[in-house]
Parts: sequence; structure tokens; C-alpha cells
Amino acid sequence: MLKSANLSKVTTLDIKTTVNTDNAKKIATAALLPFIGLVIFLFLWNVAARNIDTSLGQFPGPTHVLEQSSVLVDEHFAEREKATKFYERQEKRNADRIAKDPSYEPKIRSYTGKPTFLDQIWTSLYTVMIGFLIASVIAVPLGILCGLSQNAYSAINPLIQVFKPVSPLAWLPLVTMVVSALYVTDDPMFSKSFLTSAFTVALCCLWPTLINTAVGVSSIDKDLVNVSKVLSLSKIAHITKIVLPSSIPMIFTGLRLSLGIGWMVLIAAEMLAQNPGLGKFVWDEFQNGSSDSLARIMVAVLVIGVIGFMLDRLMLAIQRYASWDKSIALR
Amino acid sequence: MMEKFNDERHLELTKVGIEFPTPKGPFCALRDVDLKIAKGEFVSLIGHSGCGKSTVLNIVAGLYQATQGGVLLDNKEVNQPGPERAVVFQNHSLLPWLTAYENVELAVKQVFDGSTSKNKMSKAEMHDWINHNLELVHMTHAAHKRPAEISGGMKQRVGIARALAMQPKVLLMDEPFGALDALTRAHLQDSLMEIHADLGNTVIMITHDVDEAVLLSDRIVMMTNGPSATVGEILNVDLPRPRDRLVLADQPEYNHYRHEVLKFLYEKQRKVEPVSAKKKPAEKAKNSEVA
Repeated sequence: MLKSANLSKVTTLDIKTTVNTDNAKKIATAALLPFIGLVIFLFLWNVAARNIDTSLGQFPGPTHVLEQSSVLVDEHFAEREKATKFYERQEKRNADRIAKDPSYEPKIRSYTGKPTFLDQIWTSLYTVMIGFLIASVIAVPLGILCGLSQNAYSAINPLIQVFKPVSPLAWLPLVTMVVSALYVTDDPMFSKSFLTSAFTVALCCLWPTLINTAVGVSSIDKDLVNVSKVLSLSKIAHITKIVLPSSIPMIFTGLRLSLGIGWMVLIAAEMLAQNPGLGKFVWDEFQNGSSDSLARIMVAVLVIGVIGFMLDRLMLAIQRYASWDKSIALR
Repeated sequence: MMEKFNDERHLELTKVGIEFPTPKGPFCALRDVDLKIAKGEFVSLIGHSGCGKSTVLNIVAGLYQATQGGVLLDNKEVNQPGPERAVVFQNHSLLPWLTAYENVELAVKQVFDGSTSKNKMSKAEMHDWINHNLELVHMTHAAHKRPAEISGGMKQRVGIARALAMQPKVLLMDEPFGALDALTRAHLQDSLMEIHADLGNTVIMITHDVDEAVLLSDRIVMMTNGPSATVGEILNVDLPRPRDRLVLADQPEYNHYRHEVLKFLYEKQRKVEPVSAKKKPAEKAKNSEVA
């Protein structure tokens, strides 16, 4: 009797420990495998870098890149400090002159230091967002139209198929010339390089949203369309109450693809349009050709990758928020 | 029985037929469907699958346009869908992103909120009306749940509440309980009988279920097999209401009506091949495809 009681105790303990180890195993694999992957990658990168000699010196290994990333951040704060000092000096100078001559009207000049790496990240984000917004504002309504009307779809589809595969680099010269010709003001709110980059991004990330929206709208459950008909919903109510909610998942799939493409296109566009973003940073470093250039470009490459990933996660979060069906797994 | 319904010209189907264009030329699904339905009458359409029952319903709903003949509702031609002919769809067709309450609300707002509508309701009246209809189908407790969170039977109830809330002249039900288990179905049939007794709506219901047809209907319209399906026989079900399934089960009249329908379906209009007969597999597959 005693024996058997003991025995059962032992077995429950055993079960508990196995459950614990199971959980621990899961956590370990979830954290460990990516870590192992990273370590192997860094090792291979390091070995490869040691064996590649370029005209700009040895290809940067992980340590060199890490070092340059902190240099870039330091440069940013140094530049900011310079800027604050400049404004302090300017204010002091103006105050002095007013003290001497009360009729003097102070001139205020803005600081014209070169943009730092962090500034350029911000410019890039801002540009891609504007381009993406322009594209979405056009693509979603047009996609809904195409999804609702077979005629509209037949009319637009050939254009979509032809323009979709066009590289941003082919658009860029045209966009540049059109922007220069049409955007003529004395007091430009946006720089031309910014507009050129944003429009090029918009032209390239129009298509996934357009196509996915059209497919989403045209594949609405026929019963729901019948409900709308029986209720005699107006065209607008039909779109807002039935069409949009049921095609939200497809629209977001399109938006996520578009943003991914937009971010990729942006770097190329900035290189050529000289928009002061990450693309220009890479290009300038390449032209610069110092021994640190390649490491700095590598920092930019990693930052571009991480930001692209974060943009996608951001869209996913928005999709989760906007989607009515919380049960579907979104990846 | 029929003298109970004095206004026999409430809903009139006259020589209704429909042809669908197919690559092989027009396909005649229905022809010469004549049917007069009185106000407050409960009519079932029964027949084998593919016999055009749903097509008849869709024509009355205005979702399909008849290519021959026409439908009159209170002497007005039916040529487009509208809330005075509410439909309860087979698979509930609730909007999955709205709660039960909001689903009914969408219908109520559409019917009673328009500036053109004669019976305009205030916000509070609409709120009460929505709750009243949810109460009719016993769904008040789950009013704020989404379709995905409630069972199939509950979804169908909300679908019925949505249709009833439009105060339709005719309630069209396309196999409303077809997808439910037997117990839930019986329960909903009882609810439907209560509601019908209360409100006296005119109802056209499609069903595959002989017991359901006899239990619920004033008349059973039995349809011949397609293509070119039409009304085969019409059976008046002269059983006193309220009806109780347990009491009816032992009554000879009930079994007589049941037998009549079964006879029509399995003797007069049975599908071409006898099920038990041994056939070549290829031929069998071909036949079942037709079914």
C-alpha cells in the first residue's frame, strides 16, 4: 500500500518535471535557434571579410561595422551640439548689436550643417510614408472600383499589367523632369528631390494594393451581396457597410506588400534623386571612398533591413487593429 | 382551409419561367409556375435538389428576374429586391464583423430611418424595436456577440430576427434550418410557429424535410424535377393550429399528409435511378451529378 502511494507520488513528480522541461525546451528553442543562426552568420561574415581586400581596404567585419555605427551616432550628437552652439552665438551676436543700435533688425539664419545619419533615416521614413500614402489614396478607391465593376476592371487591367513590372529606375528620370517642370514656386515647401523620390515610390507601390483590393472586393461572399440587395442599401452604404469590412484583409495584404516594395524602391530613388535619405547616404559614402566607407554602408544596409522589418510589423499591428476577425492568424 | 385566407391575391406568381444562358444555349430551369398566396399564409416549397425551389424564391425576392411571366405583390410588379420581401438565407448570411444587435440594426435603420419612409422611427424606438425582435427569437442574451461567437442555431435565429425586423409583407426562407442538427431544428420550428401565430406574416419556405413541411405549412407546393421544373401538386394541410409535434405524430391526418408528400417525392417524382438497383459505376456517377 505504502509502496504504491510512493510510486504514484513519484510518477506525478515525473510528469510535472517533464511538463516543465517541455516548456523550458520550447522557450530555449525559440530563443536559441535564432541565436545560433546569428552566431553562425557573424562567424561566416567575419571569415569572409578577412579574405576580401577591396581598393577601399579590407571588407568590414562585424566589429568594424559595430564601431562605425557608434561613430555615426556620435557624429549625430556632435552635429546637434554644433547647431545649438551656432544658434547660441547668433542670438548673442544679435542681442549685442541691438544693445548698441536699437534700430537694428536681427538677421536669423538657420544652421546649414550636413545631415547626419539619423537625420537621413528620418528623411527616408518621411519620404516613404508620403509616397506610400499617395499610392494608397489612389490605389484603394481604384481597386474598389475595379472589384465592383467588371467593366472598370477590363478597362484598367491591361494598364496594371504593363506598368506593374516597370523598375523605379526607369520612372525616375521622367518623374524628375515632370517635377522640375510643374513644381515651380519661389518658396518651395518641399524640395524637388523629395517630391521626385516620393512620387517614384508611389508609382511603384500602387500596384500590389490596387490588385489585392480589386481581388478582395470581387470575391465578397455572394450571400452578403444578396443581403445588401434585399436591404436595398445605397451604393455608398453598400461599399462602407459590406464591401470595405469584408475586403479589409485583402486590402491590408496589398498595403503590406506595397510598403515593402516602397521601402526597397526608395533607397534606389534617393540614390539617383539625391534626396537626403539613406539612399543618398549610401551613395555619398561610396563616392567618398574612405577606409571606413564600406563599414558605414554596411551599417546603412543593416538599418535599412531592420526598418523594413519594423515597417512590416507596424502594418501588421494596424491590420490586427482594423480587422474584425481577431481569430485569423496574421503573419 | 382556404376560406381562412380571404385575400387570396396577396402574392401572385403567373406563368413564371426562367432561362439561364449557358455556353450550350439557354437552359430552362423553371416554366409555368402558377401560384397564388394569401396574406398570412404559410407555404412550403418541397422537391428534390436541383428542381428550382431556390430559383422560385429568388425570383420572388427579386434577386433573379423571371424571363417569362411575372410576380405581383399587392398588385405591384416585383422586379428588384427590397426589404418588404425579407429573405432568411440558408447559411444565415450575417455580417461577421457586426454583433447580433448591429446586424439587426443595419436592417432596421435601412427600413425605418430613411427620410422617405412613412413609418420613420426615432432612435429610441429603433432601439426598442431591435430588442423586441431579438426577444422574439430569444436572442437578447447574446445581442452583443459576433456571429463567430454563437452557435449555428443562434445565428439562424438572428437571421430570422433581422428579416422580421424589416416588417416584411412576405418572409422568404431558403432552407432556414437545413444546416442545423435535429434538436435545434425542432426547437426553431416551434419558435417559428409561435412567431407566425403572433405576427401572421406571409411566409414562403423552402425545405427538404417532409415533417417540417407538414408541421409548419398551410399549403405544400411540390415541385417536379428539373430542368423545366414546375409546380407538380399542391397539398392543403388542414391541421388545426397551434400544432404540437408530439400530438400530431400519432394523428392519422398528419401521417396522411406526410404520406402524400412522400408519395409525390419518391413515387411520382423520384429521381431517375432507383438507389438500390445495381448499375455500372460510371452511369451512377453521371446520374448523381445531375442530382
